[in-house]
Amino acid sequence: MLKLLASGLIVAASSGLGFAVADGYRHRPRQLRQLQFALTVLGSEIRFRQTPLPQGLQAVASAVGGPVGQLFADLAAVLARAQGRSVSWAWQQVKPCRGLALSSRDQDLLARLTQVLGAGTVGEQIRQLELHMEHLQQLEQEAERARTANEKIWRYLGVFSGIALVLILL
Amino acid sequence: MMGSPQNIIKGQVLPLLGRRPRQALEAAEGEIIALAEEIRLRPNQALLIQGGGRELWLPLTVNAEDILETMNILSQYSYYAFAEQLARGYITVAGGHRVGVAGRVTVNRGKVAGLVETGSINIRIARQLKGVGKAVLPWLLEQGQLQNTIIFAPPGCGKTTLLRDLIRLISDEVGLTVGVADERSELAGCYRGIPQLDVGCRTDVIDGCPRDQGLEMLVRSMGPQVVAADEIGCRSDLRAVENVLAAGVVVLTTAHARDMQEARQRPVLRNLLAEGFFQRAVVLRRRGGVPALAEVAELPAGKLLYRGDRQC
Repeated sequence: MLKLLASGLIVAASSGLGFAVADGYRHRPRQLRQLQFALTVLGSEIRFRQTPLPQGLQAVASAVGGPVGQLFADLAAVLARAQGRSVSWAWQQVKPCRGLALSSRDQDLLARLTQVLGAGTVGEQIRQLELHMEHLQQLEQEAERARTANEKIWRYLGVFSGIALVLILL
Repeated sequence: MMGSPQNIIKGQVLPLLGRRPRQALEAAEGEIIALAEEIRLRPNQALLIQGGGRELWLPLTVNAEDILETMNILSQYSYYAFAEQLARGYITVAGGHRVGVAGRVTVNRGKVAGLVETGSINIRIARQLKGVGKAVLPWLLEQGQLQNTIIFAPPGCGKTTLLRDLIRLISDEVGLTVGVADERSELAGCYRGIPQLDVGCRTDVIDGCPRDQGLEMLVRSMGPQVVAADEIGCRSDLRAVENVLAAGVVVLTTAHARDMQEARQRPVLRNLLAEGFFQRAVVLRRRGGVPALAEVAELPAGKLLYRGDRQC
């Protein structure tokens, strides 16, 4: 009875691990798409209303929602008490929240964007946003490929490695 | 709307500054803060407070970082939203304070397109002195009718302050509808189109608009009984004033001149006075370091109604 319970636990744990890794692969392309939408929203706030950056970031946060939106809400909150320190400084203070599946490369791209955000005319800002959107599209395609290659594998791997471990231990 | 000088500085001006200048000002004595009219930041120079004819150099050498931080706050991290204002040389912030900026500008087709690197920053603290117009207003009325009036004074003698208070009194107490063409956001201190200084309950303000166009827009759209504009003196003003008067609207304005005599020698002012547009001239002068009313004259003859502190 105890053995059965223990092996059940082992399988559950290892499949949980596998599913978590697979989730990362599943969420990343979606969040990269959200990020592109976020930059589109920010772009139109800048282009059509010349909204100051803190309010623009908040508009993005409420339009996008989820962990990606949270990034922008947090950035706006840090800026509000930054006492003039730069946007990229504020970005460094933002900690990714739970559920964020963006890789460190994705986040580096955002860090580079924050170095130019707000500093330039409307035209320059739009160009910068478009440039970063193109990069995000590339990253998204890459993430999509990684997802098809890895998502299922990790799920099976989790379940089967659990079963294998149980069999060995038995 | 306005609190004590200390509260204005603490609540509205200090949050505009980067971290080091803010700390330096917080540490400074209350007395000079109460007098402060301008706060100047220049790279590699000490932080300077000017006010009441005095200067105070604070023990802080301003660096590029301080300027950058202050600009970040002033522009709300959004150069794109303030590029137009920066090209004019100043930003008006909440509270009606005007922040002048200088530095390297870009020029496009002969016009300043933007300020790309900020050199110095000058924060001019808006102070409203309510009641300074009370002593002047009676001289501007004849049988209860407000007369077309021009205020003369050298810089720093309170022309704008007096005009603002006259606008408030005419609007609140005389009960006339006043239109203000506030080209440099000095009279009403508009922030996002809303006056930050008290200009009265029957007052409409066109902010940041060239004076002559502003005056015409007001007469066309807001049906004012009185219009006010600061510092006239170019040729286009002449026609604008003419148009306003043709519409039966009373004009209040100011001009740079030490006295009537100097005004009569200025090219455009001379024409304005010669045309007989104005019925009253008010001259301000510093007396014992304090701006004071020097003369009120009846125009076009120039007969003095008031001189120094006695009636003529």
